[in-house]
Amino acid sequence: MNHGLAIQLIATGIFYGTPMAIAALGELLAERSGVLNLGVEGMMLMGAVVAFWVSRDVSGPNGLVLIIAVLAGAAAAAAISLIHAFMTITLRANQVVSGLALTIFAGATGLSSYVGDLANLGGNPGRHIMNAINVFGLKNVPILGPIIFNQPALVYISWMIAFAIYWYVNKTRQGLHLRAVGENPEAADAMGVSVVRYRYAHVLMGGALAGVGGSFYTLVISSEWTDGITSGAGWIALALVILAFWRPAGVLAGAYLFGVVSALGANLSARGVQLPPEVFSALPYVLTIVVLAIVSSGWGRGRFGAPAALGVPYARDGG
Amino acid sequence: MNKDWIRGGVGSRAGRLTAAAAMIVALVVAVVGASSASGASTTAKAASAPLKVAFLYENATNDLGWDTAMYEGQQGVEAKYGSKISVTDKVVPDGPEDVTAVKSLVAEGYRLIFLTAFNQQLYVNPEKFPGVHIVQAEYVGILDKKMPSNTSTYFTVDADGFYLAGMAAAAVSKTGQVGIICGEPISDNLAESNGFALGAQAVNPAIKVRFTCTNNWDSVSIAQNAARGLINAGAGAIAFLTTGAGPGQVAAQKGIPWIGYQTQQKAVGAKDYLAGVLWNLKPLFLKDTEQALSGTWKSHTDYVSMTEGTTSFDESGALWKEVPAKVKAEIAAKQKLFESGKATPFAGPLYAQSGKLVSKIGYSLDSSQVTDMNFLVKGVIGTIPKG
Repeated sequence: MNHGLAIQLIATGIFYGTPMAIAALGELLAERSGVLNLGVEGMMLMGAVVAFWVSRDVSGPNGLVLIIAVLAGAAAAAAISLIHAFMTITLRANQVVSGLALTIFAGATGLSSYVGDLANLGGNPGRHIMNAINVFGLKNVPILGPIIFNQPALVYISWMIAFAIYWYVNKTRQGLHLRAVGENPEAADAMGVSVVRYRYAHVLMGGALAGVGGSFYTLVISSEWTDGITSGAGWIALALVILAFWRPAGVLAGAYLFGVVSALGANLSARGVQLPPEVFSALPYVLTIVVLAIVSSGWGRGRFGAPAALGVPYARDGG
Repeated sequence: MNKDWIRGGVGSRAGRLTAAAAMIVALVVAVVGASSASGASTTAKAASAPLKVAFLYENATNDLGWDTAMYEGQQGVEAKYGSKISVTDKVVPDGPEDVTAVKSLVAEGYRLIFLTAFNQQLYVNPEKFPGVHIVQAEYVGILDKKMPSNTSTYFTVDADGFYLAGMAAAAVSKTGQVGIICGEPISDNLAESNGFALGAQAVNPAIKVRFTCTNNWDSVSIAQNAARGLINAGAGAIAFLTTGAGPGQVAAQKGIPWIGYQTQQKAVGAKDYLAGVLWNLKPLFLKDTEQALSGTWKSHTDYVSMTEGTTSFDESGALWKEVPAKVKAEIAAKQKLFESGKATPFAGPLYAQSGKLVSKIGYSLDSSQVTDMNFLVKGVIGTIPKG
């Protein structure tokens, strides 16, 4: 029964949704501090290419190489996000422009592609791939086995990250400060919270998580590097943050919905239902448009808004 | 070997820079080359210069798939002919650049050019460039009799190899299901998929054989997604006809036995590697090189498989020991029959997926029925996508 279409779609949906979820959780942190970073796609691609490079060229036990590769991907993407932080926090540049520039700079036709060429990564088979874990030996338990107990480590880590972010934002003093920085930076500043420091830290965390999300594409889902391998997942992650009303649980649920849609084609084809692959490739983006249309309608906007200071540079003198 | 200036891709920033630089270099080379060309051609014969042989690849030569198999052939040619030939190789992505690459190789004096299975049919006008020989893998134009007189082609039709693989896969599957990923639904891939299904059914008549087509040869990601689809649906062992070892990695990720293809791929997922259908293109390339050197080269079309010795069945998998002795003996017996050409995988009675009888008892499909195959056999779950 565990090979039934519904169970497998949910299990694979979680699998394919995880990189979008991790990147969106990172973006959530940045946006909660009041910084919109449209560079998610570019940062994910940097994470993907650097992680793949490390996994190809570093030798060692599979697990260790994969950990190093994920961390390297996170560091590379965080380095890219530092550019955005400097531009928008220190120089107070327009966040939309800087974020878009970041995606163009690091994206499918930019730095990530250049790094891929430089290290001759295209067309090379990956040497390490993250295996599914048979948690507590429960992978064959009916229904929950494939869905919960037989995923790769990063899926479980993404759950921990989501919970940690929920706890941090809602239950800790620093989380309170973060919310103040994102909602009302003047008040936060008056309370003695460093707006600049908080924003830098959360933009960098956002970058690092985007890198981890990107590395999922080259270390878990696939084992190759091609230009633009994330194929728009960064944009979907941005939409997810809005769809989730800036809440971690919502990010996970939304990401898995997109994951299910991504998994649909291959799962139906293996069951003898052949539809044009173009239809399935287009579905996640169609869904993005539909979701954005709904949440930006009057109904959605009335409920949970974005952090009030999102997109607004902060300067103590008001300038 | 300098791949980078070709591999950059004009879409990337770096690519544009390198492309611009490459164009300037190409212009300079063209001017210098043109001024010295007339002198070179007159002296070439007198000194009996080595035959210039080129290998043009579509993917990296370590892709563990088609390009690696071809590269092993190249190494065989270099080892055998040594200083009688001068060899170059290049990686060119499928698309307009491959035409340019062939043109410039011809202009540089290469007279025997081996091409991988590029999507487009690459040829050189035989009248304009006498003495140039092109060998392109799976030159589909041959089917419409449109292959020029200076071009040759070969098709690897591994229905027999995959029949043996299907037997082994069915024997080790713990789910009563096996699956195969086809690249594009061309006759070769359908014949190989059917071979796999018939072999599996020979061992276990009740086996479910799942078939899925990606409509793509080269994307590792797409092939890996397809592998996940098959395993999710219950396939307890998988094989694939796409290039590279990607699906094998997914099988290993999920702990499912897998069949390697084209080259020795077991390193990507050794603990779950069952068997392989491996190519040896060297004899084909040696024959062409020999004939080009002796001036006896003629256009030819080869359909090759185990019978010609260009495909072998690899039993070195870690899971091979799981195959019961009885099935191992049956595989060995079949293998002998295939290698000697005394049997084909398509012996009657053979039914199509629709239930239609396509070959009666005591008969087999003839070779043109195999090379024109456009159906799946009975018992296969899956549909052929429309071109």
